[in-house]
Amino acid sequence: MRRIDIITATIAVSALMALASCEKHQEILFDTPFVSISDETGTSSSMNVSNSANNYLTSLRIDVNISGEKYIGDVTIEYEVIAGNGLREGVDYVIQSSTLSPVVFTKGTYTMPVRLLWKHNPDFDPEKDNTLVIRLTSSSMEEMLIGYPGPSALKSSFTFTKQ
Amino acid sequence: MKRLVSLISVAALLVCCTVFTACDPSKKADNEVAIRSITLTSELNPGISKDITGTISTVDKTMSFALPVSLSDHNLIPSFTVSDNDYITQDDNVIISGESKILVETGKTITVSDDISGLSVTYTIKVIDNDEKAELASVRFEAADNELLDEDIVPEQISEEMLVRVPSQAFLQTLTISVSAGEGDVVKVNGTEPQDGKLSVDTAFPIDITVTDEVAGVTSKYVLKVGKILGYVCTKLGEYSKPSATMSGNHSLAINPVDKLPYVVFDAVDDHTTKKRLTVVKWDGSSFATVGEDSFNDTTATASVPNIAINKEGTPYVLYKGGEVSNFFSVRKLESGKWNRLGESTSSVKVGSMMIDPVLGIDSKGNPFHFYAGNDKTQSASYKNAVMSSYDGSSWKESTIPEMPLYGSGSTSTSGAFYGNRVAESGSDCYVLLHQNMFGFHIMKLNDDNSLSPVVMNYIPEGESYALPGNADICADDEGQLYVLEGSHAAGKMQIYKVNPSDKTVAAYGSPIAVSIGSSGSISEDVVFAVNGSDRTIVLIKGADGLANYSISDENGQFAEYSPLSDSAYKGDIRIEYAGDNNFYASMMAYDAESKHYWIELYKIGLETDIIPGE
Repeated sequence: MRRIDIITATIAVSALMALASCEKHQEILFDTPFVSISDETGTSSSMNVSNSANNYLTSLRIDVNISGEKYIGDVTIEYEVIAGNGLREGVDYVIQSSTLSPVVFTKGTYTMPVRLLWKHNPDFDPEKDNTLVIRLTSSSMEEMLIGYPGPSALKSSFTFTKQ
Repeated sequence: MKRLVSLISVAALLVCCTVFTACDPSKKADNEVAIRSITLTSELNPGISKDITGTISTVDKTMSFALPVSLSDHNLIPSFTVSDNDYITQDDNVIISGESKILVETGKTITVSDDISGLSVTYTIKVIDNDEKAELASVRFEAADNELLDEDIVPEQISEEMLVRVPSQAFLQTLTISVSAGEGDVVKVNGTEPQDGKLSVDTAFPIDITVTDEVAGVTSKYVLKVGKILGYVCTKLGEYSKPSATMSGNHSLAINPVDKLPYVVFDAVDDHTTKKRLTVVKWDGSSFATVGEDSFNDTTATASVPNIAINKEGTPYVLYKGGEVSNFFSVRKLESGKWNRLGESTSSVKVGSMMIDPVLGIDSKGNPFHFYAGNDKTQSASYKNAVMSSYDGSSWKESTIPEMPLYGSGSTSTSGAFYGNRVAESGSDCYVLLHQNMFGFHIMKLNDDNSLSPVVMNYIPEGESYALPGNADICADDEGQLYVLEGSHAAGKMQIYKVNPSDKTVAAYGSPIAVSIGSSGSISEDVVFAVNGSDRTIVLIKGADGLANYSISDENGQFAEYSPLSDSAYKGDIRIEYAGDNNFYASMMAYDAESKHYWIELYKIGLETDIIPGE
């Protein structure tokens, strides 16, 4: 009987430890600031655009995830634009100047847009690399992760493919 | 004496000290007395959420603070800097920066004094109420700043998501925006603070506007999108030619209120018959499809003047003359894919021809009605007079219209002959336009019991002796205003009249429509029109010399230049109906004179595709 008590107590302690361990893990996950980039709905990290469309506007969103206590001042996010050899800025696409990098999040702002206007290019070559990658590169908040927490750093970049 | 010496000694010591202090070489007169800065910090003043910096005017000698209206205690601790050797007092109390309190209220004063030069300046405090809100007060594109605009463009209201529309020449262009915000608020457009409230923006992108109340620490975000003022465009939808049949110029068009698609009834002589029969086709969005049975009427007599109407439940009815019996009208209803005849003929007497082709109306119960003129001289009540025939669900009921003058009651023996009618629906109300020889036009409202109430009777256009019925038509808008198209014999024109059924007024509306009067006194051109019930745009089609052209009015009924409706010639009927959602459908019987071949051409006149940046 006493042995059963010991086993029961051991299980209970183990369960409490496991629970405490989980809580600690969640604390780390949710209290770590991170920044992500995605489509307007916040779900996708890629999009195809047609070369036949002219003045086709696409809008991405950069989201910063910071707890209120840590959001004590402006946060500046930088991104880079990596265009494939088939795309030229001003000919294939234009980024709205006010949404160019760096993007400043004033305290209390959690979402900022990056808007691109896609243009019809009569000299479009489908054989070339027609991808355009918007990649988050840095944050003025040192501890802020780029992309979702985790080894894959999901949503740290967005890829357009012009077809 | 000893006491006096003591007092003198103290006085002398004080004087010496004062002189010594004044002569302190480390204190030099800067000949300046000034408050460099003054701030009410949130750290020292718990009632303030964000530091408030006072605005000092050395000209007006004022010191302004924007304080939250919610702040009840205005005894606050200032943090300030002053020029050398200066100190601040309020009510003769010396104020120490970061320690002493001052009363920050309008009218109170603060004095800054220089203890070397003896100079002093007094500032009067002004408190500006801060509403603790960050609100955009106005946003617009002013014509004065934008040569591409003829008038200022302003959103209907300030909201988080705003849309304005600009003329096509300004669409997607760079325009100068004007913005303003509330007192003490800072407004930025696309992240930039405008100069004098104006900034150049690329309207191909949504425009981000932020308004910040720095005192309250509040920011509001707005997005303004710039679309295009949409114009109407005409698109050819398709052609229909009945196989193995010879079509004629007769057809009629109706819009099904359920699917908003156009239905067309036409007559044709099939190869194996000699008399015209009727067929209804529907445009299903991509092609024509036959509705119900093909060539559905009997061939005892040739069918003519077909007209189609569709009730609110989407059930089509077709009116025609002949078919089963000569010189009588019949109506068929589509039921389970079959065109069933409603009772027998719609009248008890033979009917005559009318100047205006007969139309079928739908009463408030969803049943059909129409008007005819009798052609039996022995039946004087109906002979050449207007008779309304309505279906009550089981049989046809006929009734004359006592309010209308009788045949022969005018200045000649043929005056008063019934010429025909048109029908317009406005919501649940139904109106009929009626014409007689040598009288003005009449407008009557159809009541729920199918009686008729006069709205306007015997209206004769100015300068005329009577109304000219050719091409006469009536339409209604969503507000219950009626639009009547009438010819003017004397002026050689047609005119749309706006009729208000409530006060029974009639007034010429919009620009006149030039037509020519033929040798018989009738109008040479074919003219039809329809009204967009919501924005009151009128589309008019005028056919002359075998070619149809259309014109679109502005909101005041002023017609633009005509454009060709079709490359084909036409012969016979042109029709137009408003289908809702800013779409008009127009149909015409195209005709090739060489082959003597007829076919239906169907067009849609609707607003161009809307493109709004960011949507």
